[in-house]
Amino acid sequence: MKILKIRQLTKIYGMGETAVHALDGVSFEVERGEFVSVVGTSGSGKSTMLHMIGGLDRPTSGEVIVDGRTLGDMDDEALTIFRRRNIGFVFQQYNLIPMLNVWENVVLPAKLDGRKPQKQYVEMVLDTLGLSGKTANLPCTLSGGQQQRVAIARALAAKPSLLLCDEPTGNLDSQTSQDVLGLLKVTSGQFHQTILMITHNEEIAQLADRILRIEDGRLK
Amino acid sequence: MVKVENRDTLWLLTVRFLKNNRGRSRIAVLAIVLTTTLFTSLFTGAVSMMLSKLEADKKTYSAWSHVVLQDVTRDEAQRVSDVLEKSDFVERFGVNTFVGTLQDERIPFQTEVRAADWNAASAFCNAPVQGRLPEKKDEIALSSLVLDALGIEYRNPMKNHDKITLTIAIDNADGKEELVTHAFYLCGWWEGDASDYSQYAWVSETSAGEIVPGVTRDALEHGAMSGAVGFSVWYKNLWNLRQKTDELGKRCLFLQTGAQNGGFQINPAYEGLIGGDGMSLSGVFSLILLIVLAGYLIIYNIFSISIKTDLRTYGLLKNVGTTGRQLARIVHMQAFCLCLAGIPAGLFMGYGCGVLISPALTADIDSLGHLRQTTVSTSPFIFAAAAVLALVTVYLSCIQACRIVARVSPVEALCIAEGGQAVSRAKRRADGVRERNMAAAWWGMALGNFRRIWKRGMIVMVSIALSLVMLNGIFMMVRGYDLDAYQRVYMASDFAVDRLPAYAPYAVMDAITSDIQAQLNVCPYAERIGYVRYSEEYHEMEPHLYQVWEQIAQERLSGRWLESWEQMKAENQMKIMLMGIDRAVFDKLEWCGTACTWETFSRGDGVIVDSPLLEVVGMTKRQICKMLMAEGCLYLFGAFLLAVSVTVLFGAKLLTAALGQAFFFNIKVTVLPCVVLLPFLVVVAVLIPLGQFWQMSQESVVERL
Repeated sequence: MKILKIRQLTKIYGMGETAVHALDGVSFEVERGEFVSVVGTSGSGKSTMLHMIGGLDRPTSGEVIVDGRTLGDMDDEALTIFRRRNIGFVFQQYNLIPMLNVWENVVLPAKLDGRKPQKQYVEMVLDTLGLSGKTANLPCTLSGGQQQRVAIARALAAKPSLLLCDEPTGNLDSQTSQDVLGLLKVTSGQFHQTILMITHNEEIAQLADRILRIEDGRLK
Repeated sequence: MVKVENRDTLWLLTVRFLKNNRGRSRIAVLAIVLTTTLFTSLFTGAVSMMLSKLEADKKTYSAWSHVVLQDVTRDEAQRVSDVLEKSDFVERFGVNTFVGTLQDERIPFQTEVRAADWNAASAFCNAPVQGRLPEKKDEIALSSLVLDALGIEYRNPMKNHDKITLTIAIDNADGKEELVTHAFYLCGWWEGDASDYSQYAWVSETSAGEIVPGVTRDALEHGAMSGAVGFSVWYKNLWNLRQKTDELGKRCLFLQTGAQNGGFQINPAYEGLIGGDGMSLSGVFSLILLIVLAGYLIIYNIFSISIKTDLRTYGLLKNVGTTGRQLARIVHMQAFCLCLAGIPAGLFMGYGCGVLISPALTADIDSLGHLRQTTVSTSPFIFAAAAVLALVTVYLSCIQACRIVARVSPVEALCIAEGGQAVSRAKRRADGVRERNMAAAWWGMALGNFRRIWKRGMIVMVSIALSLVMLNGIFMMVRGYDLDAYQRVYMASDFAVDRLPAYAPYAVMDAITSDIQAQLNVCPYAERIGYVRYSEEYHEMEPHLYQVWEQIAQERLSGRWLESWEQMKAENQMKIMLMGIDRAVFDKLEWCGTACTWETFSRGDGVIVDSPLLEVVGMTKRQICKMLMAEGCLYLFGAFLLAVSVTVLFGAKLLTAALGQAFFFNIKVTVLPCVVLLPFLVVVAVLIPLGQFWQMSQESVVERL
């Protein structure tokens, strides 16, 4: 079953002579539970594509369909709600909320949605990611690897249809990177989680079930 | 849209934002305290001015009810009573019947005899404080002044009083005065007020009916007064005073409102509640707008700085699924929490300030130069209005902040995170180069920064400038109360002996008898005694005086005053109060233009015309610090210049519009407060950026990222 359908996705920044085609008619599909890597050099348009898929930005043309819902049909408010219910993000910068502790960060999307977090499930995720003893810590007291694991836990806690990872190991040392990628692979299998990961590192991309290559805004 | 229950989460985020920004929160609370203080002191002052004026006017007009109706027959009175009882907007009313006036040599002032119920006695502010109103036909209640004049011991409640025999002059229907003598038992008394135009003696309705059987409409219209019934009416509230009164008139079959039409008359004290020489409604509104603007700009700046500093966090929250609406709610809730801390403190401080400035604001004189008593209001309206306006100001101030966070793009938040890092990296790389280039140009950087963000800079400057203008304004207001001017006009002597009651038409012009004058002349402690003699005359207007008066009338009079002037012009008769003065008083006169000598004046062909009282009335830390200090000072000096310009150009006009034009309110334009405050503000303008930089430099580059 297709969880993600991308059709003729185009994003143009600027107008006229200064127009930059960040994405140029990208189309592909992802199966539920699949772990897909998108590889490309810096400026190839991979982050832009991730933002379009995650509903963080709007395409100039084309369609993004997540779990049967077309993102282009939603207004900003509906898109935000859809995002917190269906899409999880893991960024290079971790992007945790600095004034909330680990537990609060992880359960935030569910609580914003007015739902009671599934305590047992969240605890299992935190345990799997090795964060059980750190739930009361603020992000600034954690190492980079730990912060990235919190970001993964937050993304998984909401049981999203799609997990989007943008250079998740970009700020980590090689050992921690290996740990984080291993965890992503484990969670993909254990929680049957669909993952779309962006990286410029061929070696890391090899961990995925399938690799897509992007260059100058086009899939190769 | 499905409504989700996430209040707890939003509260959690609100509290964490506030805790994270303790310094900014404290400054915001201070700004809210300041704004609320200004509102509360303004309302306390304004309401106190209104109440003091109201109390003084009630006394002047001897009327404590909202509306009065005078001179109706007993039959008409029955109809009016029925209407009043059925009118749902009437809270209560009192009925009195005029019997006559006391005729007794021992009583040197007018004393009216009336039958009155409790409400009517209260409406004259002459209800018994000891005993009660008369119920039997031989009972009477009297003011302490009358009792003192009659030499009756009344303060001992155990003493059994003998009957008091009193003679009452009655105005009969044929216009002749009839004297009747009756004996009464004292059943109640109260402290009389010497400044009332008349003292009162209350008798029972039975007694009044016996003494004056009744009066006809025809007799009333021919000047008879005895037997006339009067009403004092209180409404449930003061809204639509005129409409309600007109409605009452219609229901009672009196066509028009007003004494001259024989209808209900609104107590002039309530009718003139706002306006006159006191604080005008437009003035109060101007001040409210000024405070809202000043408060708005200060709080807006704080919120804007706070929101922009936290924009990345708001963006991240949006990334994880916080909607724009929820983010705006978080900002509103922060504002609400800050209000909870700031508004009560502001109300408390503002009321204190209001109580302190009220005597200066309400210092005024009635028509005869008696100082008004200050009535400081404790009305909950003051606190409610100040709190609501402070809330509205805070709400307005955070609208823009809410809009910014609601519209923050999630991608923007990511860019801020990455961009911040990029800038920092660039900064580090360029540090060495810039150090040389900018060594002599830190001030140029500050200027450049201002040019780059000139709109924000202007808002900062205007907000500081407005606060300084308000400070100057308060100083000018307090200094404006010119005691010397007041003393010159009303306190030329240490003591004044007169028998002028508050209401001039009832003045006793020959109060200082030759006996009193003889006693005063030999007073051993008096350095000098002067006499003023009054006489009211009608004068045909001289052409040159006519021109002066015409000019004054056109420039300064409006409404009924202008109508009166038009009537005077038509009749060519000007009512003039002539005052005869002796040398002692003459020597106290202040001359406009060439002074007149006593010799010239005493020849008898000189008249002094009292003219109307016109309005007297990436670099190295050191370089960054220098740049930040220069920027702070740039804003401050801009604000200072703006404040000085506004104060000089508009200060006097604004204060005059707000506080009226009482002659002893001599507004002197001054910028002294902001000049005195300038060194302190310079220290603040230097210390705050330095403090912020120091705080920021405590964090490592990694932490800042």
